[in-house]
Amino acid sequence: MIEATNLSKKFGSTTAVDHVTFAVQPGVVTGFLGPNGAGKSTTMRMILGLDRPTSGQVTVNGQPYAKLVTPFKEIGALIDAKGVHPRRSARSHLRAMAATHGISDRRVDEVLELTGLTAVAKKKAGGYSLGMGQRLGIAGALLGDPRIVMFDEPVNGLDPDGVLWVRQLARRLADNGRTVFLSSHLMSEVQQTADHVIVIGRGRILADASLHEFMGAYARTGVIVTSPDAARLAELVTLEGGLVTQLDHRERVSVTGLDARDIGRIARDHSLWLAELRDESTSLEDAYMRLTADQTDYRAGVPGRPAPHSRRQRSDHRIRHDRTRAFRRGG
Amino acid sequence: MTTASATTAPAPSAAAVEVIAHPAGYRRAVRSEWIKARSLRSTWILVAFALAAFVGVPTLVVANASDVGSSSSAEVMGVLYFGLDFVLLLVAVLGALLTTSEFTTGMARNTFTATPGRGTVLAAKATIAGLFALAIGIVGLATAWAVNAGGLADLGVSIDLGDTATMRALLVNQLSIVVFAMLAVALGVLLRSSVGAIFTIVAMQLILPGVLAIVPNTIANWVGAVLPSAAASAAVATEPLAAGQIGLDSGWGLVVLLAWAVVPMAGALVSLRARDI
Repeated sequence: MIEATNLSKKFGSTTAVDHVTFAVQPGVVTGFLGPNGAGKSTTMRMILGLDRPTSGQVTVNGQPYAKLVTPFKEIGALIDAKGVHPRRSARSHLRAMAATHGISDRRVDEVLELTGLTAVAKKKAGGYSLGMGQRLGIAGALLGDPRIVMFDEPVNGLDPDGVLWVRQLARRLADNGRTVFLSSHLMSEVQQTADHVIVIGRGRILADASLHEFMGAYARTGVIVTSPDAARLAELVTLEGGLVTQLDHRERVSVTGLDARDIGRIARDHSLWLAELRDESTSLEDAYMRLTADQTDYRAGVPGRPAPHSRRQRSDHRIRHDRTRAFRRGG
Repeated sequence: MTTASATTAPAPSAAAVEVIAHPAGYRRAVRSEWIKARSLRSTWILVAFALAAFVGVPTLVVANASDVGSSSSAEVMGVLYFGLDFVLLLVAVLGALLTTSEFTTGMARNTFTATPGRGTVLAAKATIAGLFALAIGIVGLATAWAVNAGGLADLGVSIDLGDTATMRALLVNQLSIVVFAMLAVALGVLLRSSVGAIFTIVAMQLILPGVLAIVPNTIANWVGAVLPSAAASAAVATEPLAAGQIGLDSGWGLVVLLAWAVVPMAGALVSLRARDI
């Protein structure tokens, strides 16, 4: 269990972490969410005693990190995949780490095997891809078979296989009663891995809830309907108690209060054309983005939209908007 | 992928048996630092260069000398240390890299996570740097002596370890190698930059002594006199200082030389405890 109480960290006049209080519980996977620069890494470094809190405190299994006698038994952490001497082999790196706790070479070989690095164990870490670096970091974190694992952006740079592997590993660790604490700037990633989410933005906790509660509180659950007869359909849906919200396209609406089955029936009864009818599946991502929109330093220049947190997404939004405009001109 | 989705919950890290982990302390930190140092090729290149300088310089001198006159045993011992300035620089680079490489590569975060005691890590690094310095000193001197024993005999001079001044020269020079290792480790922690730490040592060794000696200013001359190499030279001096001459006597030379290890190391400890990694 990790417990932070009123934890703050200032770098000069910048407040990276601002009076944060939270607890990371055993037996579940806790996702630590926030845009880049929100304070996730700083918080994790304070947990490990690398950065000293400006005020407040944080404990690992009831003790400040510096007081842990056998840290690797208590907590294993991946903080920085590039934090390895580039001209040292993966195996030598892990042996040096293991030596601090008298952990055997056999265990070193076990974690190499577990992370799929056995074949490249004698290669210099500097030649590793980001994904391999992440695996090496995870291997180091698992050396002492710790009660808590804490990974900072673990899927960063991993291929789809690796992402799945990290998810499964996190799940298995939690199922074994371990405390699992993963940070990510991607809601979609945490959504698929975590049982509990702690959302941080500009150094403050914005949400601390089970994924279920979080979805209930922040996610708009609705049905996306695209129909050339959208206007007529909206009237009928409203009559039956549905709440209709116009989306980015005049033919597309979001409906709450009625499910897809009801909407389908209404459309059939009135012979309306349904081009698309689906449950809103990206709602949690939207909720996260709405929640952190004010907390992001770099907003996209699309008014009325939640601030996207990656360049990729930003350009996707732009593309969609441009298409809409083209469509309107054409029609 | 090694992760078979098992139906029964396996040990999370697939450890067949419980992983044995012992308390992280000084002794294990030293072992870890030893693995780190020896697993880098740069360490061994620097060791090889240091030994080559230690043995090579006096060998060249002895081989090309025709007549050394009637030199004292201590002076002949001094000949074996003709390569010392190079040895000191190379040992300093070795010591600095032991610490700066941790900060420049980000490895420090792993190191201080594994061993939370900042002083413990510093002590372990100082131990490894000191052991390398000692080993280079002992192996270097023994080899230089063995290689040149015949040449020195041909020149009609010899070394008498029973002679106090000779023994003093040997011990002080060996000590200075260790002092430079400590100084470099400390500078590495204080500056966290390879270039910064190495440049500082080069400046103290190669640039400042020449500059400070020719500046007609008493304070500058004194600064020059307490630089580590000057202090080491003073500590092995057999002649007392001339009246009015700026410099340390042999007793103070030894004290100042030791201070170059102790004071920066104390500063490094304070800095390491105060700053974030």
